[in-house]
Amino acid sequence: MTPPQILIIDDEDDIREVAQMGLELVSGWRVETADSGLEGASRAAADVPDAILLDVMMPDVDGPATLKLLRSDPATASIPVVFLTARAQASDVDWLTGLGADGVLAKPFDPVTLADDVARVLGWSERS
Amino acid sequence: MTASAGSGSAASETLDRAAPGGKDLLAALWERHRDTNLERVQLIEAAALELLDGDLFEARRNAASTAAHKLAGALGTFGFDDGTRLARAAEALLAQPSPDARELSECVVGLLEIIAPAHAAPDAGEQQGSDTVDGHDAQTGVLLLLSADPDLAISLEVAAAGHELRFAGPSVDSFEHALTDPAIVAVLVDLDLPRGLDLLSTAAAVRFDVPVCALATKDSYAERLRVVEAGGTGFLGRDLY
Repeated sequence: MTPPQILIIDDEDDIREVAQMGLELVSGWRVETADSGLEGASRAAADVPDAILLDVMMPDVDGPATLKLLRSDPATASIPVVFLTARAQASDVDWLTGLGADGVLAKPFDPVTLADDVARVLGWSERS
Repeated sequence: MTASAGSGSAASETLDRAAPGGKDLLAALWERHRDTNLERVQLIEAAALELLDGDLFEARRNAASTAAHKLAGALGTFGFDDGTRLARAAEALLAQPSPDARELSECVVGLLEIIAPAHAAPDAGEQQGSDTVDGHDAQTGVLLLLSADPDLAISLEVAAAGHELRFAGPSVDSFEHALTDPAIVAVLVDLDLPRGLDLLSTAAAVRFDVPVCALATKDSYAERLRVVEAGGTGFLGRDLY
């Protein structure tokens, strides 16, 4: 089975690179990255990944605004989006899923289990 | 704390088992991004110093809060769980109407101890090595003191029982030369010297393998922050000896 293709949208280089390392090196997933919401939305429309890992707190276009952009474009509207956030209390999770996210994962994260965590929140367990 | 991200942590070992070489790659990523994280701590430090001076401006608070938030997410990902705990504490403090300057300063000191390059200890294997330094027992090795105050040297000689106290004098050249002696097990720098903090920074850079402590007349959190930022690993008020 072809490994999933993931788009990571995060303005923090360190987080992006560790997440990419975890998904590629540990789990063999294919990863694209973007360091802003606008670039991410554009890349998502071009590449149509299997899922998007999206930071919440970003300058200019933040995570929720990026999600809105993605959902408003027919090319990207159905791509599963998982927020990756340092603020993942129950109330934050409720807020983010209420915006239309498919899941929420907490930072800090474990690069070893990141792919499993993404698969779990998206119900991909049968896929991996 | 070790030099590499998550060195010795269960997560790091798990990473290496899941992907051989992953631990080294994570450590390399940490080294690449250490300065970014240090800059984040410095934003919190700026807020702490402003608080210590009396007023915390809103822009400074917001910048520090964002930095703490990012640190909270990043440090644990690299295996520095204590760093995430401290960053979260700083973020919570900064959300309060009147943050406690002392508590915020303590968060900053803790974060700097984790992140600052001068505090990077040798790898765990080296840390667990012998207690001797080229044949000198760490319990009885040389304490190098840089000060212009001979009375201070006499006082410390009593306190340093069991160690050889070497008085380097105020000369920078002789101090830098004296630092190279492998028998040194700790360095003490008198901050009352002109450019004392710079000298401490030099000592910390040259002798990252031993404790480098400041001796200071003025004991304040701001002063302690400056010592830690300069690479110092300890702080002694002059009234302590």
